[in-house]
Amino acid sequence: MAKILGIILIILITIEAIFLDRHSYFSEYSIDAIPGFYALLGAGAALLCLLLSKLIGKLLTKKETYYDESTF
Amino acid sequence: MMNLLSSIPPAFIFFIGGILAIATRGVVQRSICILIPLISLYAITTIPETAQFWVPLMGFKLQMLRPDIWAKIFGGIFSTAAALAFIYGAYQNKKLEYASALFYIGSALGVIFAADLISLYIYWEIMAITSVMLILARKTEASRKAAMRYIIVHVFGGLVLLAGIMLQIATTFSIGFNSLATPTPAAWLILVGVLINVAALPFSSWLPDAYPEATLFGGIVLSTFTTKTALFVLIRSFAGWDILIILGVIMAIYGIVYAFLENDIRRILAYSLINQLGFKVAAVGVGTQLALAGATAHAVCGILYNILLWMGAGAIIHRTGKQKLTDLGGLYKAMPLLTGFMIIGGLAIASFPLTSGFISKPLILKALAQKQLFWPWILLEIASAAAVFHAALKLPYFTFFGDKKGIKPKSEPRAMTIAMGITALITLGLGVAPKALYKLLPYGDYLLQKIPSSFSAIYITKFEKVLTQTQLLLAAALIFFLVIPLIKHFHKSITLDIDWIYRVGGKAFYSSNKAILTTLGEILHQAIVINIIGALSKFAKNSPARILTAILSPFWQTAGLSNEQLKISKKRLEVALQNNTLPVGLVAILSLIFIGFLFIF
Repeated sequence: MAKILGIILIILITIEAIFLDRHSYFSEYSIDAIPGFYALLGAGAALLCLLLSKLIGKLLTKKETYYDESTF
Repeated sequence: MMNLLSSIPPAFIFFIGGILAIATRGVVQRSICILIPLISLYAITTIPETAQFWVPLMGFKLQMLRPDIWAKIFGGIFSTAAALAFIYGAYQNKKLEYASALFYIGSALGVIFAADLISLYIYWEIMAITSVMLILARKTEASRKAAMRYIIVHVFGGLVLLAGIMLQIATTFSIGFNSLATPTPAAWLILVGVLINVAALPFSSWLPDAYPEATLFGGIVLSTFTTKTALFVLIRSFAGWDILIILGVIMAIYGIVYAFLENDIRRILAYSLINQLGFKVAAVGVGTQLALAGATAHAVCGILYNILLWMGAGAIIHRTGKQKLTDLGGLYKAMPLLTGFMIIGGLAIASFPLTSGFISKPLILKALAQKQLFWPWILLEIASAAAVFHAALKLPYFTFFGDKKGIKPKSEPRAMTIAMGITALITLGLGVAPKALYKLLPYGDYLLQKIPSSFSAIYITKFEKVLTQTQLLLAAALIFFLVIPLIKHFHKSITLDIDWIYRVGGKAFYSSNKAILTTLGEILHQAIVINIIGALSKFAKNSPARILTAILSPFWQTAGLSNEQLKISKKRLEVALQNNTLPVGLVAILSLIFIGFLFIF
């Protein structure tokens, strides 16, 4: 599955780089005008959220019965 | 009849339905439940914008009907969602649950169509009370406790709102429910009351705490109305408040992270709701035409794909009796249709092209970019990319694919399949041809001018957005599939949220109060009951003898009694007084003296 997704991504980025004249929402030199920016952003976002979940999971994960003794 | 329908608030149609639902049973009741939202939808589409309906109350004119374009689009989607939920619910007989759902939906519509703050508040409270029934109706210990926490949070929120409304009326002498542009204390109080209902941080944890404990039908209904009603109030009164952008971004990221950590399918969806609400709240904060139209579009689309997912989750729980990802797996062969529905819903949350999410969420992101808000924009893009994780990948992957756990699911009630089928079709239909929706939105003309709205424009001639969005989501999906072999299995666990403060903190508060008050009570008991009262009673018991001996000793001494005899006389007098055995003559003389004293003075 990962391989298929990788190949599709490469094709999409190529199409974007060759055929599309995409403009940034912000300034001319803003990073979001780079071809493949959104793919990078997607991967970065996924990794970031994974790390964040890992961190919060480490700090705050408890057994399922954690609240069971509570009367409220 | 038709005239009547378009001259009363739609809330009343639902209230009448609620009363009918209590009075009837079986097929008749279920048909009423499906018919009422459809009648309401008809009434809302035909109602003229000039229609009015007011009720006098204590010198105020409560304006309960303001059918402007905002109220109509929200009222329309509310009625549609209600009809779909009741179609789904037709598989079972639940008299009181359905009746309270009708009252709950009716009061949500009451808020939408209210034009003054007093009727807004009345409907707001009816919503809180009737919605809690949908949680209690699960009839488990966990749901009872969750319902208690839910109602406490909402009563608190209602009081803050009430305080704000009273202050607003007292300072402006107007009960109008309009835009609150200046940040007065009254406006802040109203904002906090509304933010509690929109599940904004730090008032968010009631949602993932209570909704997953509701009944299967209740979860679907709850996921739609409370938060979207609050969103509507934000749009109407707080458009352009900058703080909402910050809150929205936090909600979006927080929802993603917690949804990814969750194990319970409906709890994943609950956190996902907060994530999606974040986008809408941020859009209200931006406050431009595009942003507000985007927030409304996202609310409409979000309501539909969320009920689709909550319906799917309900179907999974109904058919397997399990609600945790760690207990589910490999079900796609047994439930091919349901697998499809859940994937459509998940893709819509991730705003994948061809789904309704794709034609609504990007409007919000574009509105942020238009206002040159780079950081909120990129953070929401990140939240948007990571949304593919929990809804489109994790939930379907671990439920329908992954390891088989030897589960033999029941067959699916036809009502469920029909309801989910219709909802899934609308979700896809909106994604393919959003023009029909854009036309109904506030600032719709602006939207149709600026945003591609036909199939050919979106997917063929101006495919830039399709390309970038697909890249964004596929890259995130790629990471998911690279990481999955490393994760292997999710642990059975829960993750602490803000409700810890009042669940554990509340308990600690109670026990510390108990300890402090008990000690205080003991100290006071020792001081007052034992020492002071004891001294008083000793005084009352011994003082007559003391006074008498003090009076008599000079006489005894002059009578020439020795010290020994004096002591004996004193002791005898004391005993006689304590036992009330004084010689009668003596008592009579004493009484006479006493009366004589009284007489003289």
